[in-house]
Amino acid sequence: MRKIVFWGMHLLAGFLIFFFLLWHIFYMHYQSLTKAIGFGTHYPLIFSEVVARAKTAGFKIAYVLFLIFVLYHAFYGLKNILIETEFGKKFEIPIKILIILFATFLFIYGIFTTLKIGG
Amino acid sequence: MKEIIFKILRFDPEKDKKPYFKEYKISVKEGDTVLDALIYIKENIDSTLSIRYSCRMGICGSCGMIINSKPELACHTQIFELKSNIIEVRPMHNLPIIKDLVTNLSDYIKKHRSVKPYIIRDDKEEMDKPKREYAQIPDELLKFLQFSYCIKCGLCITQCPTCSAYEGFLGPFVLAQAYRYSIDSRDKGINERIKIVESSLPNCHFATACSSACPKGVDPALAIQLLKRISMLNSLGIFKKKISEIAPEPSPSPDKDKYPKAPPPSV
Repeated sequence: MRKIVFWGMHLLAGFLIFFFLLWHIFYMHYQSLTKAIGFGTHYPLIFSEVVARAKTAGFKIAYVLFLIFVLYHAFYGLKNILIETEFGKKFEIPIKILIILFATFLFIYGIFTTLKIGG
Repeated sequence: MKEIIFKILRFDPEKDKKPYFKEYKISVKEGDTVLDALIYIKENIDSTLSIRYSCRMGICGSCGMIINSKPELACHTQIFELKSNIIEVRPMHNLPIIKDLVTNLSDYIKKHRSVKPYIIRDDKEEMDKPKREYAQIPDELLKFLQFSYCIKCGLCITQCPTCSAYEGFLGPFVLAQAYRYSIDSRDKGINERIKIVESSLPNCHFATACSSACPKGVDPALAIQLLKRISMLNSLGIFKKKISEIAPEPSPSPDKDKYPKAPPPSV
């Protein structure tokens, strides 16, 4: 894939993170609004209800997507910053490999945690 | 007339270990430019001072330097407009110093050449022996017109934070010229150019310092953002551009014989 497309995906991931933030605020904190349009929960949840909701397929998919967007946006940006430095110029390929490995580790750890929510 | 102190950064790589400031006190009058003062110093006070200039009217882009901490063309900067009795003059940042105020732009000239800053066509016969011009409507011209005012003075490089840190970055004016030719309706070389520039494009963080520095009012930061967009669309195969064809042969005026003939040449 062309390098400029990876950069485009970086922008897109940034936009989607912002979208997820707006969605979070709307869903979790504007309960009178969600009640008015007949959507979501309309009262504060107790812990067991929160855990039960986190086990639903929709929430798990949303968590995984959010994890992908955040990891891609963060580590692509970090790679771009690092390779512009004096240090990065010398070790461009090792830096890229390390970043990919670290991001992959965090992704696997994140997936594991998401799937294990609520036991 | 007014007495002004010029603090000029001097450096001869063959003699000096590090750059140092040298002061010159001269009288200047209204309308004098910094270049006028530098030429006066070189001709009358210190002939060892090295400066580069050519047109003296803001066209050639040879006399770019840092004047009172701002990137300026020396020929385009009037001394009285600086409103200071002490004027500090340095060579451009982010470029190796050849001597005193003369910097080496050859690396960026090579980068400029690498992006093929000319019209690329596949109709070679027409390029070698043109019959007529390629037709272009005003709207197509306006897409690149401002970027064609670039004089390659290098002041945008001086201010660019990426150029100061990353040698691999092509630089603002080079990328602006890549966009200028890629968006030109007469050009068919966008694919060749994008392969060369695409690795540099994500390194532009849109600080827009290049656009603030440009003495000709060109906006290289805008060109880079637009180049990012057309590069991405082109990579995804959805970039469309109308290509200019050769203008049709003009039909002769039916009233041609009624017009008076031009007088014979006087010289």
